[in-house]
Amino acid sequence: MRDAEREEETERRMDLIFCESHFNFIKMHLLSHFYDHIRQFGNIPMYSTEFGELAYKTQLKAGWRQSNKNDASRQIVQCYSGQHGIQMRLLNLESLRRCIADLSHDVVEQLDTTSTTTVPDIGRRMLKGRRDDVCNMADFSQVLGVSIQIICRGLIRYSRHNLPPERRLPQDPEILESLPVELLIQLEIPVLAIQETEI
Amino acid sequence: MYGALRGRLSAKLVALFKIRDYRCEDRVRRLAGVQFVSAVNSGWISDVHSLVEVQMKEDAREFTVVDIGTILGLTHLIPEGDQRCIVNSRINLRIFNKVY
Repeated sequence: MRDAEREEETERRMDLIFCESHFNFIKMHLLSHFYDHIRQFGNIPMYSTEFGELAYKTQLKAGWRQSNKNDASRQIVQCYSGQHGIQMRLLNLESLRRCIADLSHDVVEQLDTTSTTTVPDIGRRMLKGRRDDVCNMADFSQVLGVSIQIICRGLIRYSRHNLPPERRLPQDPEILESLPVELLIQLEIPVLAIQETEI
Repeated sequence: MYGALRGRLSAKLVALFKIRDYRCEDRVRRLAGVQFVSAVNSGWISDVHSLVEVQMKEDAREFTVVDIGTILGLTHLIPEGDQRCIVNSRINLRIFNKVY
């Protein structure tokens, strides 16, 4: 009797699992059409998620960083729409200038300083752990207390031994010194001295 | 190479830095400046404590540049006399301090 009850319970559970789990939804159904689609039209770039993923950087992440993290969604939307609107405005003015339209002198000046074509917004994120007082090799050498010649020699040796010829750093110390450098802050984690159990 | 250290060598980390080569596709190199120690007895373990000994180099100004990715991790050096250290490859620091 108990076995029969157990079997019945098992069957009931299996029925529940099978009726709840199915692949009858659009995402799975589309897979069956991809084969013919690719054979007929080639690859399917419109299904690439790359563009959408990249858009997060400008549409969400930048706004989130600039917000005060309090009711952030509204601030993110305002930030993006503001920036987008300004960019559209600048593009319109650029195209007008190309058509030799009569623009006022101050607008032309403004366009020269905030040109959308010559200075693209690369959206590079500056590291928080970067030291602000180091921007070139001279600062770097001063902070470390190591002479600039020794650093350049080390860099040249590293470049020669580890990098392929087409990707090597400049071998001329003068050019090397002019390259921008970012020094990262090292965390100062207390470490137990010998025979100490507490920090 | 380096005996029991099997090709690895301890070093003092001086700086972690990035250098941007604008002449070569704006390529960024993530590098570390280190001062290597030298392995005593070619890195073979000592008969006394069965651990590898290393020695700080005389020239403290030495500055070697390596790729950040080549750094494997932290090492525990136990000072032992004149510019020499033992590489603790046996137990972690907290247990070591409790035991010794």
